[in-house]
Amino acid sequence: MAEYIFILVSAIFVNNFVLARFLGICPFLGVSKKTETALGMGAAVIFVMFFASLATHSLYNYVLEPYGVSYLRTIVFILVIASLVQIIETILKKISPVLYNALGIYLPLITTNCAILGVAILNIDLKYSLLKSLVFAIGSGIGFTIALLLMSGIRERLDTADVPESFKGVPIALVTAGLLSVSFLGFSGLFVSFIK
Amino acid sequence: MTEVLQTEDKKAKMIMDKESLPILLLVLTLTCVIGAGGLSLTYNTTKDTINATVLREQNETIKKVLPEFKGEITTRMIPVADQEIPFFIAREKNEIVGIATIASENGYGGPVKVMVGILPDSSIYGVELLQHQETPGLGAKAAGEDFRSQFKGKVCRSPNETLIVRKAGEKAHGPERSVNAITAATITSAAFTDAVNKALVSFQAHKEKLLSAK
Amino acid sequence: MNKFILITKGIIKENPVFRLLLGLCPTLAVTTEARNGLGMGLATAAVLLCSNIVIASFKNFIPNKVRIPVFIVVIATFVTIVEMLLHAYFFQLYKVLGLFIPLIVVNCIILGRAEAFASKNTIIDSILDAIGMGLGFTLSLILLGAVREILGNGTCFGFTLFGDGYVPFIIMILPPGAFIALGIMLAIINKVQGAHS
Repeated sequence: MAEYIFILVSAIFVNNFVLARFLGICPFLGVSKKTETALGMGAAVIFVMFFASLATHSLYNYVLEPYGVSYLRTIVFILVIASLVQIIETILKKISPVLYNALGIYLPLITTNCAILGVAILNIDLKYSLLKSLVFAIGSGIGFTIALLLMSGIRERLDTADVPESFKGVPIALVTAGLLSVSFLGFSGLFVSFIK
Repeated sequence: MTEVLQTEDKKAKMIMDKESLPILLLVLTLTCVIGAGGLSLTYNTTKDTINATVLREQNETIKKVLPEFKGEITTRMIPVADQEIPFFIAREKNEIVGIATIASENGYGGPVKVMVGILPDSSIYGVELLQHQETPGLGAKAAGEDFRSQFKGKVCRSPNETLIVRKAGEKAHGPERSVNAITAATITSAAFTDAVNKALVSFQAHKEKLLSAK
Repeated sequence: MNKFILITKGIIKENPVFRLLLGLCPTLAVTTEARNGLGMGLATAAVLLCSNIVIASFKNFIPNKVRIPVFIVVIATFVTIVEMLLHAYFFQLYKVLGLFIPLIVVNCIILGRAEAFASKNTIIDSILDAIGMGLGFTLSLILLGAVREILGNGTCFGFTLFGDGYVPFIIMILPPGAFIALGIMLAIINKVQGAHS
């Protein structure tokens, strides 16, 4: 149990996907202007990460590895993620129009989000079991969402702040992300020693 | 006029044909097959070099944690807890020079993986940091000679005699068991030391088997 | 002359990192040292060059509806080939870049150039475009890596620059340093641009 908590906390705080591992920077800068969109994107990412981990982990361990073609990993994973996003989109449209309206527009953006492929590959590289992979996927998704939410809250205020002309837009967003990252650096150690 | 219309029609039909389902599937399948073929070709040509590189790296690290020897290294996999742990047995003229093994423990940023070289008398000869995601400039100092050299000569004969990390200013647990932590990186130091402890304990548990191994 | 512009535009006017803000994930992640930036830049440039050549050569045979999946498969194939070559011949670099080698697949620069350039232009032009963009990406990574390494570690390409009295800003080689350094560099570029126009 402690191990699963460690994976979860570590994925959310210590190795935050965005602020420490630098995965999913494009959506982080792109859709963090409003809290509402940040929440939608975050939810879509958690959703897809979970199913992508389930699919890629099983495929790798039951098909690619046993047949000695693990070198096809990258190509298979990216195709699986792309089709999965399509499938999820179609199913959502049919069974839950409400959820589709909330997440729909973010789903196509997710295929090229390196955070999803990153999670799938890290699961394999860290030799996680299926259960650990799923915990890791959820943790990573939550970490991504938290980073996005915090960022959007700050950026909504930045809009009215008096920022030097040359810093407007992306530069100030990056510096802000840097400061956020500093704070994550701080309390990560606390959590680790707390668990030990 | 009609001729122009006809060619226009033909063109439209051709574009439609190119977009028809069988053609789409054919193109996709073909791309995947050619891609996979290219990869299997590259894989088969680079496989031996990759294996040789990995083995060379591993042997170089083993040589760093054990006294100099001219002979062979044999690998034995022994199940410890829920995984197989490799023990690298180094021999010179059929005499065991030392045994190296790998262990890891969670540190500040993720697993800290170490290789420990143990002499037949159960004392440590050398330790190397294999893999880590610790803070550069702080925790990453565990890779440095200053920290690692403390482990040389330390002994652990039973699981309750493991090495203990000592922060600056704390009382020592006797020179045989205490390891000085890196300033501002206690968690990393502890993880490193715990990984070394794990290696020592699993060595102790299988010592007889390993030392009598042919 | 026209051909020359194809190469130079990727370096300055349409620099993928500083102007188009593409491929930021690897840019931020691997630039703790100038040397790693160089390695990542060249690996990405190699994939870009190969995928541009293949896509420009076969552009007339790729149906519009499946072009994106086909591009992705082509790119993923070359990424895996580069990964295996690095593993076999550049083991140290392979270990440092780690996860970010397979992630070249989702680097927006490569898919972006395939879609916006290679699928519409001749092979020669696509090669020049890939060289320009690849070079621009590599130079940006080296620049960011050098700034972070000099400030954060007091070295550049591994050579010590300052005396013993230099206290490095460790924060610059930590994750926050990546964001802050890139943010400030973008602001400087904006400032210079503003002064010009």
